[in-house]
Amino acid sequence: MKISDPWIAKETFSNVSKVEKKLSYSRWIEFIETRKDYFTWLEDTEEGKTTLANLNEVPESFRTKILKAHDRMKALAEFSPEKGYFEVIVQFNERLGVIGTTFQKEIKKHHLEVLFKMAEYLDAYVLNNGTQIIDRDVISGLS
Amino acid sequence: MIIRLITDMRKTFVLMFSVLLSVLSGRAELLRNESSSFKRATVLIKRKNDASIYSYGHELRKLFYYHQLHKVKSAQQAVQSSLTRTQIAQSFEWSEPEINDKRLNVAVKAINKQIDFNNDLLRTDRNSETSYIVDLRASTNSAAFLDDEALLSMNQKLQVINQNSSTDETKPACYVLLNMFFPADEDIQSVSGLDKEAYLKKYTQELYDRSQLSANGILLNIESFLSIKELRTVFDEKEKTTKEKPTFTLTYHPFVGIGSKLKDSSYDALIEGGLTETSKNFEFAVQGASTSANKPHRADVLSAYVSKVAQIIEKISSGGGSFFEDETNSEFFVELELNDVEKSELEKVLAEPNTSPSLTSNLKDYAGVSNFLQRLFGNYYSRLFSEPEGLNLKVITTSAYNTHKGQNAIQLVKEETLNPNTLLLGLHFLDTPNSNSEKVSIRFTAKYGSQFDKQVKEQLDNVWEDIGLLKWTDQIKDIDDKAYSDFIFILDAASEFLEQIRIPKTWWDGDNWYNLDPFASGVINGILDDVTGLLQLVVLGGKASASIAHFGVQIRLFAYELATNDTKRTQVLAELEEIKENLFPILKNGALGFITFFSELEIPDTTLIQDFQFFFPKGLGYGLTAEEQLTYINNIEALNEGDLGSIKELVVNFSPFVLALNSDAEILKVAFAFELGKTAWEKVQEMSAREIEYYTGYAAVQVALCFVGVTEIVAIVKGANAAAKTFKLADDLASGLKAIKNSGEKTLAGFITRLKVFLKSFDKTLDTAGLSRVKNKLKAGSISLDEFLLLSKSDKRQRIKVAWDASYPQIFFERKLFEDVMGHYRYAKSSWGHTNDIASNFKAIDFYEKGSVSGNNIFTETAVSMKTTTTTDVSKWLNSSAIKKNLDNLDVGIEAGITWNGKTIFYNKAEVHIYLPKEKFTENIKTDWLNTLKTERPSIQFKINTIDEFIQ
Repeated sequence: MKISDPWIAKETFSNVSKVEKKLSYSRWIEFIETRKDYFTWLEDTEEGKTTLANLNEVPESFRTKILKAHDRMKALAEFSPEKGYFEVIVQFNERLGVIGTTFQKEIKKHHLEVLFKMAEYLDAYVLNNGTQIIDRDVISGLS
Repeated sequence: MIIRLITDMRKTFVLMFSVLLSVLSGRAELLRNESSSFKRATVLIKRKNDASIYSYGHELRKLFYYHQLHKVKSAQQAVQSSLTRTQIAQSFEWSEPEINDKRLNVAVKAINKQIDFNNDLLRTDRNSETSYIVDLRASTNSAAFLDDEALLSMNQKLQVINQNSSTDETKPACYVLLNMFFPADEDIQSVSGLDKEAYLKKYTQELYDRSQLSANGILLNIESFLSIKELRTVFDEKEKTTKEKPTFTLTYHPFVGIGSKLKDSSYDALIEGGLTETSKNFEFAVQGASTSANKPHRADVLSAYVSKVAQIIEKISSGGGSFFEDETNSEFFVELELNDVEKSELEKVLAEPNTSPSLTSNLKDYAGVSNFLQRLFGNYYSRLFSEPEGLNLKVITTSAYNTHKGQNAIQLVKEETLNPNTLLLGLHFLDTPNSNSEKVSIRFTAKYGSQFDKQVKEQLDNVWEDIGLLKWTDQIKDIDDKAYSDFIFILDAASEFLEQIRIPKTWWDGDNWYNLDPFASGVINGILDDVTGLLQLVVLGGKASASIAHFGVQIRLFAYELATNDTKRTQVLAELEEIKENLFPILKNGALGFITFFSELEIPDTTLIQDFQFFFPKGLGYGLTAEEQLTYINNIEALNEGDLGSIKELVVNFSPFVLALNSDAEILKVAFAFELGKTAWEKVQEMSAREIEYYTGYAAVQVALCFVGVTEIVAIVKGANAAAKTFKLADDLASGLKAIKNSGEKTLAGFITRLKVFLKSFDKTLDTAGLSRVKNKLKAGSISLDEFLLLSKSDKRQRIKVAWDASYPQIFFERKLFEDVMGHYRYAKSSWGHTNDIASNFKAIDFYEKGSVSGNNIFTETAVSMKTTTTTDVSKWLNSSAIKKNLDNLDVGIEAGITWNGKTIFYNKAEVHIYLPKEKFTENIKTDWLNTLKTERPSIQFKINTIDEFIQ
């Protein structure tokens, strides 16, 4: 199985807009809060702080969206000082009830471990391309 | 635990790789020099941008003809022929270079001086622990190869060897000379191409022979790299002409010389084996170096080499025993098929004690097989024994039952002292034929008196081969005995089999309704010829390079299965027959004649992928990052059958890919494509025999690799049970053919077969060096935006049509053209942002309406993903995993944007712009699509157009 940017959702899906069982936003927040050693909320990053500080530069039609996006929606991890950005982004989507991820690096065992824990906490699955359930067997061989 | 596991895996990796390289590498050979048992291992390391399937195929072809030519020459014909085998060989090999004698003598003196110095040390301190090793590197520039610990350990081993030896007390029996003086650059600068290798070889040989090392030293020349630039004639596929192309080759020449007093055949194999392995490890390291960001220094490789040599020494020392001075003979092995008379004759003599052996001065027939020998040598028998042209032939025979004082003929030959004109043959009959066996196995050796010069020896060795003797090489020993012993039979049977399945002339020559396309027939026959050639190559055995021999072994095993397993043979034959009968008429009669063969091969190990990439740098995956390859494969998978089958050009592609899951556990897939386009049919009139040969030769190697099954190569050389694997091999072939046939029947347009296997392996990183080259290669078939814009409007439209018609791999570059073209006309930079400017692989979004920017945030009303497709079936389009992924990502980004490389695009509206070819676009399709998409993806807006509408 080739894994790229896994999803966390309560059900497998071939179309993210058709997901029926939604993830709990509060459980999501709780989980990230327990893993503040690893994750940083977007609003707590330098980038996020700057955005919020310069809200006047944000077009009005985007302000609500920006505030929402900076309110415990995006958790980032693994900042790369050379690249100057976080290489792991986990993003909650309330409308769709899923969590999307962006990995700008190879996905390793510890990444999946975090996602498994998150999925367990949210009573959901880690999914590859939405369709494939990734379970712990997948990573048992990884280091 | 995990760490240990990884270490083990790494070891396996190294082992697998070394084995594989010997199978696949163009040339990794051991040459033997008769005068001082001088061995030379050469590993050719081809740089990425020059090694090609063509050169590899060419190599095989060359050897094949070489062999063919050789084969028709019997021992008699060789003498009469105007062109001797040696001459033929020379045309492929090296010329004799002139060595700078002065410089050589300086080096010899230095070595001898150092050895004398060490001798002095030993005289004063017999137990000196450091004086068995002469490290010229340490003495010249104080950069010793061995650290103290390794040095001590190696010396201790050498000490054991010396203590066990019975040589002169005043001198140690064994030295090791680490490193050596190498010819100065200016000496070899003027020497061109492969002659440099010859120069090195001769230089080292001379150095060794003239120095004290030749008596009781071991020479390890390990810092010998040579880079060679040469012009090679290649056939340009596009222009249909040949071109001179520079190729760069880095060669490594670790020489090992073993002193005459240290010679022992049992150590020969050990050293040879060790050297081979070392050379391969070296190549592995170099390969690793080229794909890793932290390139190991040459010195790392060399120290690995030295440690391997230390291992060899250790083995020698633990083996104990003394050394003796002797000519080491080439040993052969022969299996002879017997007729009834011979069989009963041998059965009798070999099974009974020979109490009164015939012992003349010429024939010591302990085995009692003189009648059989007469039959074997035919007319030669009496002529040889009558001492023609001053030749004195002596033969010693023994058998398992009848040895001489417990010694067999091979051992007896070793003990004989020869007159200069004597040729001594030793034949040891291994087993007794019985009712179950129609063959007799003989170990065979030839020892030459001093009058025989090298050339004569070679010719005679060829004679042994001509009468069916094969060198008994280490590689062959690894192979299942049964498979090996039946070799001659297999070879003939397989050749015959392949002859059977050739497409006969009557099938394509004439006006009959059933006639096949001549070109298609030619291609198929060409492939079969090449496979046959590979089979026959095997005959070269030890003569061919080790790698070729290895490769040959695989073909041999395949052939063995075909020849010996009736069921398999029938099965395979039937499949091929069906292909011939059903598929080719389809192809011929189909308006779109083409063959597309896209296959993904089971690969058990990353090493193999490296090998593929090494030998097939034209492979499209080569040089791409794992990420890019993923995209590429996904794209290929996303293509519908129409795309796959739309190949219009004559293309033969071999495209290996690697899919990396992560650095610790990978999922691997090697894909390769073998395509013959429509124009292949059209161009048959234009093509010369040579061109066809080129294409078929090119294809043949791929096909052979595919057929033989690279997985089996790995497994077989690992030494597991060969019989089981040959079985699987034939199974694979049969099922592969079946798959081809089935899909061929299903799709009138051609056949696509996919053998999908994913395998886990470990660490693999691809370098990106070849990326631009690969892209450029593909781009060559496409045009740039600038070029496009210069065209007239109608030409632009025509070009768009051409681009739509392109198949993979060109398709990706043509589709890129679409993106560029639309980026110019529809999403002009004056009012649109291009994510390409942030990153070529920006997630989900291609273009966005210009809005405002604050820091790393981009705010746009509309983000657009541009999609091109030839399919008119919307559900098919939606089901493609690449599309699904794209739409999901766009959808989920509406709230919090999409971040890539630290930049976030926030958008209020996600749009997907779909482009269909003008020929396929209709209002009905548009409506149908939009309705479906609206229901399926309510939060995304879709627009469907043709490219042409926007072109001005």
